[in-house]
Amino acid sequence: MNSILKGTVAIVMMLVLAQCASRQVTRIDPNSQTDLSGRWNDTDSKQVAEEMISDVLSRPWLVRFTDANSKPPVVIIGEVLNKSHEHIASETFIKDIEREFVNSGKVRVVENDAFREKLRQEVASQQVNATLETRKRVAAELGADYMMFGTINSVVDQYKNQRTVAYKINLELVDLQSTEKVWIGDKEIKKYIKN
Amino acid sequence: MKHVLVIGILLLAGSSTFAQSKSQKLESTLTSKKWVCLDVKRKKLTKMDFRFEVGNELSFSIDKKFSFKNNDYNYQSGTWKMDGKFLYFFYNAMDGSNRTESMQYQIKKLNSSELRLKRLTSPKGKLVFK
Repeated sequence: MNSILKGTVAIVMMLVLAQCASRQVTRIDPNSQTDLSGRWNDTDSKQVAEEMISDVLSRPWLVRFTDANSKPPVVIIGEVLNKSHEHIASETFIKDIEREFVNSGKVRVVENDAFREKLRQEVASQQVNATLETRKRVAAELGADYMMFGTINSVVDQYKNQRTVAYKINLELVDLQSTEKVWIGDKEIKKYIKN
Repeated sequence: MKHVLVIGILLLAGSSTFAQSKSQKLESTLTSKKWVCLDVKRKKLTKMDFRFEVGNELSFSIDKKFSFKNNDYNYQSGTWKMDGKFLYFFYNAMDGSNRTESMQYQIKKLNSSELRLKRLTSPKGKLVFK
């Protein structure tokens, strides 16, 4: 009986080791589309970023603001609420949008409240520790003209081994002075998963 | 006579299905990757307000939306529609108005490695994407 148990344990250990030995890791193109579980992944995030960037930068609010003020608008990125059924890191596509704003030179971006406090602490520290010539002034920040925020929603429909998941990502750009919504972008992603 | 009619109907249905599947195949090729412009034939296209130049990126998504970015970080986004050999783009005008404009292209070549478009909307020209 004892030898049977030992044998079983040995076989299980060998199987586990064989499993470990068969693991294969391959570098793949970050732009390639990979769908393993059917959950939200990097491809979805990239699609959202691409569509939102091209939409927000091609709509009339930008031309209207630039024509009226002869300067690029300043945008602050607010919160993107995840109301979907799974964890979605909105920062991945939000950072892409920020990067494209900054690189385009058509929109200026200021830090959001989470990081702004750290910057203010640094400026406060400079008032005591930095030389007069290099010291940055307090209360001289760039005020935002617009704020961007949004929501992520999802709808799941399931029957037996089939499942559809629909994600809807909404982003809005609001004039901070007038509270007017100047742009609303949305992206829908629908997946059909069969187990 | 009856047989000829049945064969005719079958041939018609077959050709319609074939055309549909070909169109679906072309659409899936179009949405499979991000296309980078490698050649612009016709200088007028490089002198427009929204210039077409080598290095521009064009991408099509499965929900029939497209985005186009030129080297000045000017963006065009909207919807696309394929009708046989023709490709239509519908997008917001770049002048700050809410007008929707369109462009018509003829697909000269489309496979997984190359997309050749002939612009039929003035100014005319040819664009090669890879």
